[in-house]
Amino acid sequence: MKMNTMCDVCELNASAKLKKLGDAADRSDYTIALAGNPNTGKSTVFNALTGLKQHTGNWPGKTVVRAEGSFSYDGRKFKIVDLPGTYSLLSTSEDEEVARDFVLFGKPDVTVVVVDASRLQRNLSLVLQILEITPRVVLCLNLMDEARRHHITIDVRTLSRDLGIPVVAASARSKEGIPELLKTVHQMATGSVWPSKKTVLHTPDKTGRAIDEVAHALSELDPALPNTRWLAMRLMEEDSSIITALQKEELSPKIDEEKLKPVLELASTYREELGDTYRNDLVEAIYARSAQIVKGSVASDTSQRSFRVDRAIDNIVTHKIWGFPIMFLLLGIVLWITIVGANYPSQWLSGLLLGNIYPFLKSGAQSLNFPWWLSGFLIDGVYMSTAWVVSVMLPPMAIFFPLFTLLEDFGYLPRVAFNLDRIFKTAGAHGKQALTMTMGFGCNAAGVVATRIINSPREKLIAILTNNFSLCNGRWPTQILLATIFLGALASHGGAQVIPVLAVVCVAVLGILFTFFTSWLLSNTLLKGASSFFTLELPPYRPPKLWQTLYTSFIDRTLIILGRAVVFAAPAGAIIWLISNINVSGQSVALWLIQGLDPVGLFIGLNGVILLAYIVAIPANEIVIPTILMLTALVVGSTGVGNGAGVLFEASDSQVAVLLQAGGWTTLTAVNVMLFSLLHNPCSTTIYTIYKETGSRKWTTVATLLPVLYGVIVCFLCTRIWNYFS
Amino acid sequence: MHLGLLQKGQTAVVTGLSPACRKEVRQRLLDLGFVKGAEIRVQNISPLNDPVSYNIYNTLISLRRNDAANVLIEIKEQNV
Repeated sequence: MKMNTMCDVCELNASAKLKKLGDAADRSDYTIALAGNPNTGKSTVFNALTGLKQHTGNWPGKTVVRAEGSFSYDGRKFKIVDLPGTYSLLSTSEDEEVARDFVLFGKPDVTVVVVDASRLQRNLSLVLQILEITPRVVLCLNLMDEARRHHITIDVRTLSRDLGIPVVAASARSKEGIPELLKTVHQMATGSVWPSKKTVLHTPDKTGRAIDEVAHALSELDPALPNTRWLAMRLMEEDSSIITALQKEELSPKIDEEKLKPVLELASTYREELGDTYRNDLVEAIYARSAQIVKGSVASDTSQRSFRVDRAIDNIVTHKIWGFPIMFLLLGIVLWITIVGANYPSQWLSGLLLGNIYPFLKSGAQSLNFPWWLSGFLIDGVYMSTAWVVSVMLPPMAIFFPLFTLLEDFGYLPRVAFNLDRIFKTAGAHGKQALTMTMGFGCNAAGVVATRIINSPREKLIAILTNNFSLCNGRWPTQILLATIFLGALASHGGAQVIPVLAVVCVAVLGILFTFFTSWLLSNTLLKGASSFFTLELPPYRPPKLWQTLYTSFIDRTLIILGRAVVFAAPAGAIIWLISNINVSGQSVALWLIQGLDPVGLFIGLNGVILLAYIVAIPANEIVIPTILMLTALVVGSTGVGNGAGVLFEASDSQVAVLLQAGGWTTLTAVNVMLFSLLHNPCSTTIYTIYKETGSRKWTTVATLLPVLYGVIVCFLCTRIWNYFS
Repeated sequence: MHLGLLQKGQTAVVTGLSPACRKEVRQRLLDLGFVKGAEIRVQNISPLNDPVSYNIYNTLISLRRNDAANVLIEIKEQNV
């Protein structure tokens, strides 16, 4: 428990009145909207207010769906809605539509706009646009600590006077200014503070006149209609959600479809007359006003020098020669720490779940007189594979995701997209796919979720369909085991260490090549279209918050993915046990299936056991090898290893080698399994995630079957070529 | 002169957007601050020579070279 100091409970400390309610926002007295540009620390402000651990990403466009939370302050309950980070509210992108519509239709009592104090001029553009919709705005001047470091001083009073709204200086990371922000929000919500005046933008002649006249026409229909200027601007832009709302009498009972007609005609006449000038004039007016405000309130000590650390880091990580090696080195280190580091907790977990709890359950079932099939089905089947998945899947994810998130929060990952975009552009894809591909090395399901950062639907789909070619955590151990046993044996002394590592790296690189090739293939066939417009903000480097990162990446990524995996692992365990134990005409279903699949398997250089293992172990790549071992033992008969039909087991490298060779494996088989491990259907968790993200059966099917097709072709060709040369 | 031709070390001022530029591209560029009067410099060039990151209003925005050609500029000063 946290100890309260005197300050924490002091009446004068506004935070003492703050009660964080997380996301229990059912009934509330006031609604607060939280808006802001990307990378202004908006989510940090949200977390400081609600205590809800919403992940704060350091690249633009992270919060695509809006998050809600709530807090109670001075006896009143506030619901707070975190809007997507946007640069503007004028465009047609999904993010901006969500933010715009909420501020207008959601009628929040207060809209808090979070801005980066070091980049005030750029950020004011959004503030001025929101002020056109509603005057009930509080400006949160965030990242004041960074601004001070960059020798930027801001005259908060003048800024507040010029904008006509309260301005609160804050550094949400260190909770500085949060009590004042709460107090101000409370004051505006309860009506004890009112915004003083409305800032009117001075748009040049023709554009200004067009807006005024359309606004005037709306006022004539309903004099009580608020923010007619903003509505007029939206009508000039042909905003369909505003037009529909007006037509359906949602914004004013006095305006309906019939009455709106002449107004729409007026707007469209001006639109045609002004063309592109309209938008240019409007944005120029906004920037001119921002510049004017900044001039009066911001003093900076030649900002060129102040960002030199950022510039220095960028010069190194995007360097012509060093950029790529640094990128591969960092990714290599992250994967190495993950693979090596995961061994220890994995062994501990598997010792606990399989070494201690499993025999305990077995003896428990025996003393309760469970019939053999029931204890077999539940404990050897369902429990065993669920426990197996947890113990081999949890540790690597719990290591990889936090490391990845640290790189992300530091600001390095957008630079990876910057470095690699050229290659993705050639393939007709988006540079941000570099990030989702990298994420895929940890977990493909997480990689698929990460594609939300790509805002063009075509490029997002390409990123989803190709994510499976990133060799995920679940497949690295398979690669390493087979390479060590079969390829390490080929090399003479000394090479036994190097050859397996090289082989695994080759497989991973092959996966990257397949990502580019498939992206290119899709761009030129099923997903034809020009590579869309690419913009990427390279955010300033910020020291990541270590503990918060560990916590949020564990909750947000690890547990969600693990939960989905467990849901699929339990039934798979049941099936694996059943096919091994149900006998039909004298032999188990598994043996029948293996015999049926053998001709196909052998034709492409695999065998029936491998194919069956890949079919039943679809929930997790981690249980493919144990399933192969168990089924091989079933086929070969007594070899001294294994725990019986349908029971997964582990064995030492030499035992595995003996067992697999008895099962007919050659070096070629191992090579083919390594290739097939890269090129086969995604695991069921990933397939389910793809379906959730695309909402399309068709694309989920393509994502599932295309890699299998590749796998079959590649294994077949590899076998023919191998046999030709040997 | 357009942004695609700006060299590292030069500072330029945006004079407008090319009339040939598609509507959604125009909107996005305006939103990102590529507005008449904005000062702009090349910050970094990707190792593969494309995209390029520009410093505009104290923020680094990267654009592909063919998209940058939509931004019309005027060179202001030349620091060598």
